[in-house]
Formats: sequence, C-alpha cells, structure tokens
Amino acid sequence: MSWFDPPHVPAPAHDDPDRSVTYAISPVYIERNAAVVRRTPVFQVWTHLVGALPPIPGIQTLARRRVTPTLTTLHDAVACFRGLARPLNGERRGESTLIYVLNPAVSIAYEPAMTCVARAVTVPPNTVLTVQVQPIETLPVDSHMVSGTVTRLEYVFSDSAESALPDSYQTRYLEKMWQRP
Amino acid sequence: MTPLAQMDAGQLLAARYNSTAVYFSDSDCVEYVKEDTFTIYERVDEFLTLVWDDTKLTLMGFKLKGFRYIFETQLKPIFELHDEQFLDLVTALEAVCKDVGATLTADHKRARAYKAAMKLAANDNVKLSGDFLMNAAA
Repeated sequence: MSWFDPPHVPAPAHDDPDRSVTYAISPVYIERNAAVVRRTPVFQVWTHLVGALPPIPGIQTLARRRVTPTLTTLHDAVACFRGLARPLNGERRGESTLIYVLNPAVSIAYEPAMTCVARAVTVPPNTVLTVQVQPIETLPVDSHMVSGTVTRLEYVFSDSAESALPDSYQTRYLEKMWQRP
Repeated sequence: MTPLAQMDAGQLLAARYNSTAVYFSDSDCVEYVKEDTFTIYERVDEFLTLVWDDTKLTLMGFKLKGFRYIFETQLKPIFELHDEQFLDLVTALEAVCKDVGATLTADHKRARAYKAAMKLAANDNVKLSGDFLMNAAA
C-alpha cells in the first residue's frame, strides 16, 4: 500500500459514540496536497486516523526513537461536534460537517533527511487536533460501507477553560454531539 | 523534471515543496502555507483562519473559507473582466474585508489578522490558479 493512498478509517458514530462507522479519506485532500508536494497532512492522516506510521522508507528509524508519534484513530476522539459555522459549498453555516477532536501528545511532520523524511513533533501546549468529516448524505463516496469522508485535519489552539477542546468551541461549532469524560 | 501529476509516491517523498495557494473543493477553502511542516490553525472568523508554526510565533500561511461564496459574490466579475489565468489572493482578501465591512473596524484583533494575511499574500505574491478558476469562470 502506498503512503499516498491511506485506507478507510474507523470512527465512533456522531450520534452514538458506542457505534463504529467507517470513513474514507478525501481523494481531494490527498490529491491537492500532492499537487503542492505537501506531505505532512498525509503523514498525520496515517498516524492519527489510520493508527500506524506512514509506510515510507526508513520509518523504522523514527519508530525506534525515544519520542515517537502518538498513534491514534478517531475512536480516541474526546468529543464530536457538528456544524462549522461558516459557508461551505451550498451550506451557509456548514451545518452537516462533523468535527472530531483528538489530543495526541506527539505528532509527525515532513523533514528532509537521508534516513527518514518524517520527524516526531511534540504537540505544543494548548493545542488539539480537529478532524473534519462530510457525512455520506452530502458527499458521494465510493462504497456503501462508508459513512462519510474525512476532508481535513487541523491542529488548532485549545480553549482556555477546557484545554481538551478547541478554542471557543461554544461558538465556532453549531452543536456538540458528544464528549467523553 | 517529472511533472507532479506523473510522480509516484517515492518521487513525491523526495520532491521539493511548491508553496502556492490550493483550493480544496470538498472543504471549500483556499489555503496557502509557506512550508511543508507542522502547523497550527487559528480561527479568526467565518472567512479567515491564520496558520502558525509550532512556536506560534511565525505566521506560516492563511486559509480563506467558504471560498466559492466569496468567488461568486465578489470575485467572479473581476476575474471575468480581466480574463486572468491566476487570482491574486490579496484581491480575494480585500473582497472578504469589503464583505465583512464595518465589523472589522470595531474589532482590532480581527483587523490585525486580516492585515497580517494580506501582508503575507503580498510579500509572497500568493496566487490561485488551476481547476477551480477554470470551472468557476465557466
């Protein structure tokens, strides 16, 4: 499997965190990042959504280091929101978009090097990872087994009062679907 | 040099990052990031997000959200008038400023964020080209 072709990923359903669903990774997200040769977001898809280091040459070197990227899937999400509160294609408030929140301690980024072109990055304090998903109702996907498409990953600043969640989560999203204690 | 579209996964690992603006159709945003590295996104408002490095001190880029709405309401006439191949993102940021209007003058933090994004777009001569503009102008 190519590092530029990540597999579908498991996730808790937005309406029931105890039910598991499957999401595809947006081909647009992968292809547009490839168009500018931006590797870091794809490495982060593997590490934080697939739950494995990207299958690139020399990755064992990174896996053997003292600090290694935190492997997670969306089942490690601490919260799920719905609605981006901004225009998104036909939606004035991005109402259908789901946002999962993860709290990995160490992430991954591209770094030009001889042995391995990925490096571990300790996630700065007050920073959380958000993952945007378009559910199947609003985007065509290639399989009836897939419930939606992951369209973006973004590290964002965390909320000053609730550091596991994104800054101003009360107003930047329309609805909280669930939050784990 | 091999064209990007023909590169395989191995060649993409070794290729040089091409810092240019990119439109993501399914999240409807244009993004410009200076380097292929770890970044943190700071939401300014419903249209603009700033992109910082891991020290949170260096501005690495910006993201214009709801870009199809901005293009259709503000930019399409300008684009068609000049028959351009590229869209200057300073023009796009100015269009958003016009759209959000007076609220910017009352909010200094937001105004500073827009100024920072415009300065970066101007200094780095950030332009958008490609499929989005061809499809949108059709």
